[in-house]
Amino acid sequence: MNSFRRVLATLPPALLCLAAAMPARAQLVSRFEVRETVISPDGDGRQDSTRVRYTLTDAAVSVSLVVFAADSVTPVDTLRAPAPGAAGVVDSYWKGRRWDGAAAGEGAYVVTLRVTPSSGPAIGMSLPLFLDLTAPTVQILSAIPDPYAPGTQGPVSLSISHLIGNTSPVLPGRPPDELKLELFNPSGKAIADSLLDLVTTPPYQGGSGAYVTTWDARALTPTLLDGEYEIALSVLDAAGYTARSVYHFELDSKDPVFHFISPIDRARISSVPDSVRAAAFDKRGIDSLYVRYPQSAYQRVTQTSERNDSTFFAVPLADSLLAEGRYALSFRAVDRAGRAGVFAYEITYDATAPAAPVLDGFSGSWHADHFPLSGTVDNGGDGTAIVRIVRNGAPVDSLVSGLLTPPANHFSVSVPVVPGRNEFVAYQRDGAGNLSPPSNRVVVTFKSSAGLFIAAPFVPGGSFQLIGARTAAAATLRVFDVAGDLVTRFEDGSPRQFYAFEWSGKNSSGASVRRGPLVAVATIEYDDGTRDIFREVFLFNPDAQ
Amino acid sequence: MKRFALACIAISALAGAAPARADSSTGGAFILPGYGARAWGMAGAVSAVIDDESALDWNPARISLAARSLGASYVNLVPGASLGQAQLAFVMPLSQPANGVATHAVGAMFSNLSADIAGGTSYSENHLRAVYAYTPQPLVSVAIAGQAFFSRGDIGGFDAWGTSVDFAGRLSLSKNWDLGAVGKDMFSRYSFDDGRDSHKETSVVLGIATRRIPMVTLSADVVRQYASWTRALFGFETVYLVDHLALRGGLAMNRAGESRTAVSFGASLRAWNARLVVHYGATLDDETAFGTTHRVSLGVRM
Repeated sequence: MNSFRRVLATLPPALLCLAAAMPARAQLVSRFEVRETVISPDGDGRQDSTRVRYTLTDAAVSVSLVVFAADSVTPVDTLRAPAPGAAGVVDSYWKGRRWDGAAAGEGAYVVTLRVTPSSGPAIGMSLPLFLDLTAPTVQILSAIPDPYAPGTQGPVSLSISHLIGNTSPVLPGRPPDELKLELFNPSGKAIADSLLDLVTTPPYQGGSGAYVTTWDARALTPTLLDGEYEIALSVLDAAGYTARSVYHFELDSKDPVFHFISPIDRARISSVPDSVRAAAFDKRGIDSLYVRYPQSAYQRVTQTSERNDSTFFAVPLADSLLAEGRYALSFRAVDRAGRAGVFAYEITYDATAPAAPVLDGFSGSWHADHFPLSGTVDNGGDGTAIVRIVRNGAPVDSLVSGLLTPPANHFSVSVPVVPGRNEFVAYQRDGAGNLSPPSNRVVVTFKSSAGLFIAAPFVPGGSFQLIGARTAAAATLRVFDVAGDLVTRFEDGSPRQFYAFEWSGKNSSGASVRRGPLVAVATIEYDDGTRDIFREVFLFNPDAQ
Repeated sequence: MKRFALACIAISALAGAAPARADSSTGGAFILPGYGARAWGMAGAVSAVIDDESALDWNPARISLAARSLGASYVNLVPGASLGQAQLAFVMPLSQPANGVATHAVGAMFSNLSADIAGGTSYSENHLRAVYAYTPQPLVSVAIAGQAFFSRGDIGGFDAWGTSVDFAGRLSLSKNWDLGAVGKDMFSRYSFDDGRDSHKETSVVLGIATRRIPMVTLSADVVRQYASWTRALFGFETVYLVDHLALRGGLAMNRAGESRTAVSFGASLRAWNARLVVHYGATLDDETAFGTTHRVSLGVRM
């Protein structure tokens, strides 16, 4: 394409002014134009030929259309031999070939229209044409820095150096070869042009040469993926040729992260460990690591070891936590791209035992295999405190007392009981691991003989407790009034020995049952086809508390 | 006999018009099963049949057909549990019966219901019932029954007292056909010692009976309660040995809460110049309900 520039220098300035279309210079020729001023007859279907159109307003004695070399003297091809011409529009096409059919060489050409009217002097008009047989070139030389860490103390922008060559000549009225730079994130998704803030130096105006395009990604950092990005630089010239260059670089958008091994962040501890053990991680490695104790400056962490992508480290703790309370430490890690991550670590030293739970009292016997143990506990605002329930010296259940609703902090848990004496004690363990003194003791005597057991009086929400002689296949319980009419019924088809039927005090039709004596008839069916039937009269009081 | 069959069909249709399962009972205090082994031997289908002291409970209008008599009855209502019902009944015509029907008749009945409650406590109810029946002409009688009752329990909240009123009537359609109608607890109210009030569930009984077959009485009742026809009752009674022996049976189709059927049977024996009669009745209820219960009652004609 450099030959174009040489040819352009030889063309008369007046001719260059006729770049795209030439308005009629005389009334006889109302229009003379070349559709494609640059053609590349390479058979790719794009700009392989150009159309030359002229329009005569009247008949002419002679009309000729000839393609000349750039010197406007040497004929290359005759599109129309001199001959009389009628008024109207005439289209001719030039496919970049000489008069003898051979391919014309790359360079500039002139197409000349000569019209001889019936009276008066002949009219001559010329337009430039370019035959482009060479594609442009583009090459990305570098993308610096790599990795690029926007928003850090390093370079503000990514600098992409690239070379562009063999561009089409710049003509008046025709846009320069198009330069397009695309960026693809690690997922292969293109970053929208509207989000790219690209600056090319020197400004690209269609010429060949060395350029540097910079990308300032600071504003996009929070949304950018960390990983390998792809730069695709394309040049599309006027003849339809395309050149493309691809380059990859690393973009670091993630701060180093910390993982605390022991004690964990926001831990509550009842005894102070020697050190905090943790690991810092960054895909590109940790360059430096610092810790800041309360009321002190950052100091470099020296006890580190590398394992895979992580930097394990330990910092002393025992001499910093001398009294109970909450302490804040700050850790700072800088990766090898210069990106820093800061972690605010918090630890609470608590050596005070929490308050003991208070169990609700119970007297009498129990007839179901689970007992609703209830009580209250003051968790002191510790959301991680738990209550541990011990039956006859062995743990049987626990609950998170920190989830209880203040101020009552009342809990109720259904705990299993064993036949005979069940002595329950509860402890509270706070998040630091401190154990409370034992609660008061509640003794539940579980009488597991077969039968139907009903509270006196029975109140809505209470339960009928039914015990089989052995594991049963199913149980049914019907409640009748004294005259024998059914009030409600319950069924449990699960194989169990202990059944509990809770009753809301509504009959089978949903109506509230009145106060008075009722008869409960329970049937337990066993796998061998036998059954036990228990009948009990009980007093129902829907108004009792 | 065809007419009775039609009546039974009508009663069945009446009961069948209700949903397959009537509403459940709402329970409450002062619910008392009827008096006596004779009536229960016929499954309680006696509102158009009963003609002794049992009528005080089943159809007060029919005490106009009863001789002066005294009766006593006892039943343990729930096998396996202690729920006993003991009753004393006395009926007396105030005028000389004409054609076996007294123009004025009165009666009284005392009932006691005692239960040992789960948890080792006890509960009892006492009911005192007074009845007056008036027979303006031999084919028709009407009656009113007033009842006072109180309860007591070892557990607080079950001491209560109250009153109720029943209305009843009988109509003799012919020599062999009788109708009975009873409205039970048409007005009732009782109060607990904590000040809360309640009332008994109203029920209506319609009955028909025939003696077209020699020595055999057939009867059928239908009971409306809990806003539906909850019970259809069918019974029969036969007499032998010059009225010294009676055999009876019955069928109760209960629909409250869930459908179930109970079969009843019974017998009576008269002695002491027919002045003493001993009744026995058994009810074969579903074993998953009340099971089999036995009633004994005694009547003395004075």
